[in-house]
Amino acid sequence: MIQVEFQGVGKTFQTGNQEIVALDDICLQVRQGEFWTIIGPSGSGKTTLLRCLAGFEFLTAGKIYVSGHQVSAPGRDRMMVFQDLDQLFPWRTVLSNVMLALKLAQPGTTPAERKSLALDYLDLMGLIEYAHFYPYQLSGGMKQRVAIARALGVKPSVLLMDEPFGSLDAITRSGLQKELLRIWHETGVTIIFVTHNIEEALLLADQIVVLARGGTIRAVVKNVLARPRSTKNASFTTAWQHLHHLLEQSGYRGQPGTASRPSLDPRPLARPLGQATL
Amino acid sequence: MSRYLRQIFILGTLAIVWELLARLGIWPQLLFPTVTDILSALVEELASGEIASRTWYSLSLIATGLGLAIITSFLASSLAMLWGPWADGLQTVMAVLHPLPSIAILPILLLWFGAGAHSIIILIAFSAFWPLTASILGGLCSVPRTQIEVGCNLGLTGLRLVSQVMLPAALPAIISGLRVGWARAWQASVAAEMVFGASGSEGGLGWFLYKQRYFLEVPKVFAGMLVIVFIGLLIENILFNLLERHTIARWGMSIR
Repeated sequence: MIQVEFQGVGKTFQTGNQEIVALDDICLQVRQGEFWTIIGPSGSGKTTLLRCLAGFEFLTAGKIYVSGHQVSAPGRDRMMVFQDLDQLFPWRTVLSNVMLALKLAQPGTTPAERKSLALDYLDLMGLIEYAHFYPYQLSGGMKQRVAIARALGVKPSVLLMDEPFGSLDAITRSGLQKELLRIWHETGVTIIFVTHNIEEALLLADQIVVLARGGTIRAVVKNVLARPRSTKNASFTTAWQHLHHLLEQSGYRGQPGTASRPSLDPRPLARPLGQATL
Repeated sequence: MSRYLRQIFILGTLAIVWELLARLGIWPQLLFPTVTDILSALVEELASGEIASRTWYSLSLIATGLGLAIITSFLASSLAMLWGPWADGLQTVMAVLHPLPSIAILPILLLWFGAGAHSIIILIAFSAFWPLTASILGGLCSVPRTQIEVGCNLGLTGLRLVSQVMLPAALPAIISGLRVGWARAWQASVAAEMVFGASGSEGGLGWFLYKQRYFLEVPKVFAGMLVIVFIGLLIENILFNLLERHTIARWGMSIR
């Protein structure tokens, strides 16, 4: 079942008398339960793409559908987890942050029901001992876990993640990646995950969208590396190099992107990665 | 605790210096009374109960005026978050009226509402409203965008978004606004009564100072000032510090 569909989505920002194209003719189809990552050089519109899907930006062209409904505003069916470590409400405890989400998503429940449900989600994220902590008492990794628990609490059909581990150290990041995969398996939620880290994209995703400068799709790459994945495999290295090459062509390291060529086929390189070795 | 001891030590030293200066007799004792005179005047007034009833009267006017200012300020600021034209209007009116010393509107208030409690209450409300609104608006405008978006994402809109996300997030600014508002209200209540006195037997601490000056009871004037200072410190150190400790300090949102 197609859960998320981008139909020719475009987004331009107006700054003074200059028009900046953030997204240009984006077409994507994400199936229910899939894990997608969006990767690209900075300024390629990764975050804008996610924000459009979340309903935080209005589109200047095209349409986005989630479960058959056109996106027009933010909604609980698409929960966003941000990169910022200040996305939790600091005046609420960990438990209370999750309970607020549950209260809004399921207004008919009693506080006792919400509490036990919230504790279940905290347990899922390994946070049970921290239920009564305030956000400022938590480490960055802990805060992101709470944000994920809160987002999952409203049972979204799609979980949107905007570089959620981008501010964390390598060890914490790797731990949270494993945990996110476990939760994805347990809940079956569709995930769209923005990152600028090739390794992260390869470890997590079924499908990798490579965006180029100018907000066009450089490639959609199917990631067929067997799970559980390890960065130490030869196939992983091959896939990494392939993605790295695509990113370089997309205007990484400040080079002007090849993406501005209007004749570029959106999916010229949509071939499976790592197939040869697996 | 050592901070308090240090403060007490400093105040004690100042009192001793004052006492010595007064006893040197450089200035007439009638105008520059000794600390002991001032304290005995304070004890006398406390015993007679006058200063207590004056203080109570002032505080009741402030409670009413400040309460009015707080309610209207929250309503005005919240509405500014929901409706752009109102925000523009409020900002413009604030830019004009905030710099106006509030005591300057007293003549008009006296003409409109007469020399009585109503005028003082309105003056207090007016004095506190602008700094309070400036702080609340400033606080609301600097709420992290991510937190607002999380609120929207969770399905909060309009007044619920303001009350559930924006106001709590702006609490550090709101508390500092309340501090300024309280100080302005206290100043306004004293200043107003010193301009026109009091109506009938009623009157607050401003009226007390005015009356004692009229009778040249200088130690009592100082005694009245001591009470004003004491109440200011009490509210600052007990009420506001407690409020901070149970909210923004507990949540790690304290600016200090």
